[in-house]
Amino acid sequence: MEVKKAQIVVDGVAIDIDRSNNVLAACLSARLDLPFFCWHPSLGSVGACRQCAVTVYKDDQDKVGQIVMACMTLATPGMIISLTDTKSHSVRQSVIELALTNHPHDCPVCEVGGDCHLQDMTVMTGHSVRHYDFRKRTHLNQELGPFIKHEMNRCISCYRCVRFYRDYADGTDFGVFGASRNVYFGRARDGALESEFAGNLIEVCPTGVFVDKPYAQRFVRKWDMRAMPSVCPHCAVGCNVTIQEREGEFRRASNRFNAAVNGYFLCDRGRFGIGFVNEPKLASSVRRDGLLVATNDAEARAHLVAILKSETVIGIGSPRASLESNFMLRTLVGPDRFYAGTSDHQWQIAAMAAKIIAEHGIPTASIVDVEAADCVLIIGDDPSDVAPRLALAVRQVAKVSASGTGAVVDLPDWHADARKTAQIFDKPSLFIATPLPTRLDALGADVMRGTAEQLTDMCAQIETVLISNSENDQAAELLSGRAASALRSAHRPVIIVGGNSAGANLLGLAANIIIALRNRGADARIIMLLPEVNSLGLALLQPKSLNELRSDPTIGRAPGYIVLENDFLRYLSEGALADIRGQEAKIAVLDHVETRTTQGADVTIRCANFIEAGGIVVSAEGRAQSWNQAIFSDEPVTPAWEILHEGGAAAELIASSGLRNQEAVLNLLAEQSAIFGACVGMVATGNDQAQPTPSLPFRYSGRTAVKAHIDVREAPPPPSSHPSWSASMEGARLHPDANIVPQFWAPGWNSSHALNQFQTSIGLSLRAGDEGVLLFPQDSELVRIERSPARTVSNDAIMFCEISPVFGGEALSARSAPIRERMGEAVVVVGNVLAKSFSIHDGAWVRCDIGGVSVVRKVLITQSIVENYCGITINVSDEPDLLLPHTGMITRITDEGRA
Amino acid sequence: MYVLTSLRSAWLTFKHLFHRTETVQYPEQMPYLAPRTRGRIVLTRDPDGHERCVSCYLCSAVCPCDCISLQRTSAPNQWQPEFFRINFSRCIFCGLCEEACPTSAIQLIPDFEMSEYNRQNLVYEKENLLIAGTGKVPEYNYYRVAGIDAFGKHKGEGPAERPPVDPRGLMP
Repeated sequence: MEVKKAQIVVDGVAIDIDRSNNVLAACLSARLDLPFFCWHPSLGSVGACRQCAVTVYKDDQDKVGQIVMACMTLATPGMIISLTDTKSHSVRQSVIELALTNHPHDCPVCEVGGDCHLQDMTVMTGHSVRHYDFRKRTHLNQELGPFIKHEMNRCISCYRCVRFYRDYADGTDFGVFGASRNVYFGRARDGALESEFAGNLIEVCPTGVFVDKPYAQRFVRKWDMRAMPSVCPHCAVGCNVTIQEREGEFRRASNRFNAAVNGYFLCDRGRFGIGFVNEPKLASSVRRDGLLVATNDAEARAHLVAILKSETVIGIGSPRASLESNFMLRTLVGPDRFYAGTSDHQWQIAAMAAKIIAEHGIPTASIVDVEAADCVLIIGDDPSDVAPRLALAVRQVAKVSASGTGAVVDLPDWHADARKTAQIFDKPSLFIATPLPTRLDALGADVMRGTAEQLTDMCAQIETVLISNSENDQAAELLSGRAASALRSAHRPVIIVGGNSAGANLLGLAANIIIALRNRGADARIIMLLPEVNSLGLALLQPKSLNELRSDPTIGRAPGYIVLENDFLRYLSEGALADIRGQEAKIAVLDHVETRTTQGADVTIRCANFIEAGGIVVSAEGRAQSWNQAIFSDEPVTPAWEILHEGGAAAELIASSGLRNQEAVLNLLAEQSAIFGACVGMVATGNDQAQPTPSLPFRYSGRTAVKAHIDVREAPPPPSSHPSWSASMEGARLHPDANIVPQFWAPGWNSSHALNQFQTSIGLSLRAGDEGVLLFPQDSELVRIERSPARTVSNDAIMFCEISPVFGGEALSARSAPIRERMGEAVVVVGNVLAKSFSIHDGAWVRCDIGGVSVVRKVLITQSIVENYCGITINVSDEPDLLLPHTGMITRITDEGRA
Repeated sequence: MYVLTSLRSAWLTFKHLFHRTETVQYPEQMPYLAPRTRGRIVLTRDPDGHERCVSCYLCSAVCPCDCISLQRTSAPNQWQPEFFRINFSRCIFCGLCEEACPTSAIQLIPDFEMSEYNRQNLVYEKENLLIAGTGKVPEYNYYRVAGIDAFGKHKGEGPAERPPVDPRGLMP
């Protein structure tokens, strides 16, 4: 995109502007202090709060000028404005005084104090004495669920919350009530906010109306917490988060801006799921006389060495462990004995995705690409469940297409209200083809429900139409025809495809459509929906499927299993489990949480979780990003790869020296597989900084008292595991141009809006560069994927497809207390035709027998589902994996039968 | 010159023989210390008898020797310290915590007799710091004016508050 640069003059100083932006964004991009409330870089301008008043002069001769709202004024080259003149300054001061007339006197007991945009802006305008001498308006609070605490008295009526919740995230259960000075932001009645993006209200609100509830329960001020950048471990989107901790205890996760990944927003699974790190952790233990007995790490590791010395050692890799750990395990057991700890179906999907990206050169889309797309086609699965942040981006497509493409009038991106009006005239270019209903259907999309076979045919038809370049008249009746013609005229189409319900085959077919589109000259990109944070990273290491484990005759008696951070016993059928028991296998599990597998293991070893040690994960986009050690406790926890390396050296499987640090492990990985070359640089120890960056804020308090009750003599600060970071306050203080920024803070900017000071321009990349490296070149030669034979399903059987809900569909986040509170009831989604034939009604209880496993679910009847398909919510905590999609049977049960 | 200054010093020293003696027979004879003297730190209570400290963390932030550490309770609407610890072996009695305190909870009192043989005994917990009274600020009750619900005070019951708004009403 060509950025037309020009300059405006602010108080006699020329600053660069992006011509399509407004004066406020231009001033903030130039790191000038101009207060604002209702404007948000992602939500745009509405000019409601009147806070960003500036004076505009006609020309050099004009000494009077005119007050305008900076956020509603297009920055035009040559414009002369002033921020420091007394007139606009007094307007800003009076406006904030008005905003504060009813604001309570409660900063000391407000969780947002010290992290508050309203405080920052008050200081910035210089307002200090209130002239309003009457009683203050009060509001009653609402109970908004386990994520958010409501304190309505603090509201300054900027309307950002409703603009985010209703206009941006399409939520319906939150709004504004009342009139004039009594407006109230909340729900019609008490209850948990339904939108899975509600947590963003915490950061969107410029003051403390919406407060992070789990954080409020273990509250410390922002300046008292260590901050480290990290990557959310709860899905394959790889959103960047800031992890904050104090004295070894995780306190809060908040959004960390990454222009190419998550931008300004997170989903609630990420924000509140990370709390799982505070739940009870796995203890190292050894099985004695049939019972697991807790033991010390040294003894557990000695048992690991014994198992590594078995004749056959089988490694089970994990999609939620880092690249280093998986690679170390593969190095120990050898590529022939390295299996993926996922169901066979998930293995197929991940392997196909890895093949499409690595071998066929299909370019992947980031969230930004989705938001900027002019046509989006969703095939197979609902991204709302598997990758919520991606679904939020899809929701913007409906809004972008109205103005971004200039369909109605040429509106600037930031003109939020005008764009909202323009939306009425435009239908989003969004096509959805899935077997199960999706939550994106309601966006005004063109929706088709189809079986796996129908979706396969549809993809093939679209590709044929695009290649043949002909208008297929009969196809115009079908979604394939309409989608094909929309895709043909699109410049930046994105296809989102998932194989959960309809098979890995779909991924290949979607990739072929991308090839056809790119051959036509469009910048078409693909997003493949994968379940776990490192699904793609594991698949790129080419593990075998667990199904092959059973058919492998070379596995002799008493093999050793080394299981890395996963619950692989969940994914085995009854027969396979019996086989393993029959083999008299010895199982060693390295994990940080207790699972079915750790309960059935012979040795369990506690390894580090994602905030206790560093590691690299590869998102579904193919972006390698790194976890950093964010917690420095007194007893450091070893990452799995280090435990494996030590064990492997003791068992004489590998040399004892050489792989001592992350960099050495990644170097070896890059030697074996060139695609990982870029990862080495991410942890390179030779950094160009003279001093490490401190991870503690400079106001960090209580250092000489916090542990004084144990010993009045202060212990030295913990050592840092990485030379770029120091674990203490020592080191070079962060600077906007520093290449590593633990937390965004600038003088006068204490809230999360300090980010403005670190970006190249508002909404664009950080000056230090966005974190993460794309592992694959986006311009490689495209190779068509040959279609493999589709699986055939008998017509009369019921096909069960997986629904993995946002809350509870992922194993780690399902351990976090607030997420557990939000988990819905396990349901089976049944079409009304099928329901009638089984004579079951909405809310009835049924038993579903799926491949030898039977589970009880509540019935939810829907109109919009393909015939003979059922969606069933999975229960990651208490049930074995249902190995979906699979055929099965429904039987109605009574309440007594349920018990 | 050298002789002159020596003589002057000798004269000044000699003059001290006739000054009033300033030595106080401490501890038998206690000196007067003004209420503003910055000595031992205490945590006071409000006139209703509740702990004044709302664990806002401002004292710990302002402390130049980082000798104050606290943690708020986990109860959702209760702003009180779960623990409040001052390491007096580090404290320099600068009084900045008292100035920062928005609720007048933390106060420095005219008591300086804190010598210990064991440094560990200079670590004071909340139980050691809390006193029964209001200290130097007899009237102030932060929660009455803070605008939030606390200790039986509900929205709209504070002296500067109007009754809660009915959001469904349409009157201006």
